Amino acid sequence: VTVGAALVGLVLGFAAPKASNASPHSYDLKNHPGGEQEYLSCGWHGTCYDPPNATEGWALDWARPTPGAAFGVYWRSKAVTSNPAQWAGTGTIGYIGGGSCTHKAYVSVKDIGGAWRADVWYVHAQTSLAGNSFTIGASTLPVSTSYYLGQAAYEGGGGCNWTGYHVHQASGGGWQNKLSFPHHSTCNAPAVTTDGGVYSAWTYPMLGTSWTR
Amino acid sequence: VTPGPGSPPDTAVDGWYIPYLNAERTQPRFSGVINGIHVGVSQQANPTTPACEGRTEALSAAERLEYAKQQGMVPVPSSLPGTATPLSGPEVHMCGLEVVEVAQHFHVAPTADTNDGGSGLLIVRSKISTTAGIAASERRWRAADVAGRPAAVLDPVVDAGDGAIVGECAAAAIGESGIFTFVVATAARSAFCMRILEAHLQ
Repeated sequence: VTVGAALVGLVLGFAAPKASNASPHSYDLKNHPGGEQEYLSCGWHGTCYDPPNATEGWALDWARPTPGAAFGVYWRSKAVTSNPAQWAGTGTIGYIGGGSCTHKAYVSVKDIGGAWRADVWYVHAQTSLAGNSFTIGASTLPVSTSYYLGQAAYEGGGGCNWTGYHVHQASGGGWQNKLSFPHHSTCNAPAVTTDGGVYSAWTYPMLGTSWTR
Repeated sequence: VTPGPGSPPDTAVDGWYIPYLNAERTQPRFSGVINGIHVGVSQQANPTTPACEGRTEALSAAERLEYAKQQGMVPVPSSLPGTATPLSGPEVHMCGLEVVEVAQHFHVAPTADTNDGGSGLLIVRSKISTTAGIAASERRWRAADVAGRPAAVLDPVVDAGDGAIVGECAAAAIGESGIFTFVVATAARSAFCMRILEAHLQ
């Protein structure tokens, strides 16, 4: 599915992309894993305290295969559209740095007309880029968009019950499908730190949504 | 160029909101105190989490939730619009057997006070923070009175009416019980955030 994909060049203070014609067009957006090295340390779950049989979770945990160091966190997506204007919308970076254990970067997705479509939260990630926006590319073939968001944050100690660098990448609403990855099984068991292994971020999407506009 | 006050945006044009996002981006992120609430993101406003003895890894999610309910820390269901659905159970942080912070995310389908596509929603209740730690420009922050309590409110980047709302709203205050409540909606007008906050202060 990556044939024809092109990495979108992204800019700060981005210009308005090309205008589209008036007829409705379809859009399909997939969000991909955002860790620098895509080691899945916890399959689909809600909070880090979910019981092993929980099934409702909309989040995956990403880390390094060898833990112990911070890593970069990225927005990654692929999008397809029937719109010749070749963009799906914009992602705007937000950040909440207050409280305990809650360094949260997020990306809020709006379509080309300004309708909110989805949020993705990158919990345990810190960024100085809040307020920046980027264009989410799309075409009749999948277009890949990558945008640097920030760094994984260490949040051990205090009231936090997790340690080590990882990013809890979660739907903040708007996503219709969970894709590709297993449900969590062992990640809440003491001293067991793995649910899976290394995945190719661009091969396996994790969240999907579609709309017409 | 962002349209001036006398020239409302033509929201039928693709990308009409981009000049507003660009204008917001060029403003410094504000960090300060409004009505006693730390707002914005800074080292000073976001102290290191205090040391906590007696961590509680062994408690199950159900046990944590029960403690949170007993201690009045969970988001108030009646505060939520009928179109809100939780994305997970509340995330409960504890220090010993005391619940110190709870956070929960929701998806909100469109209402009269949200973007016409709906909005994401986060509610945080805390005993260890009085920081509405969201990064935004100063011109979007203001003081307000919510349910008789001094509050800090964040307006969205642009509200052009008819669901053309772009950017987060937020509202935060400390209740009589001492619990700090912080509400963030990623695509809604301030009245939406203030209404949810109000229900947590009563």
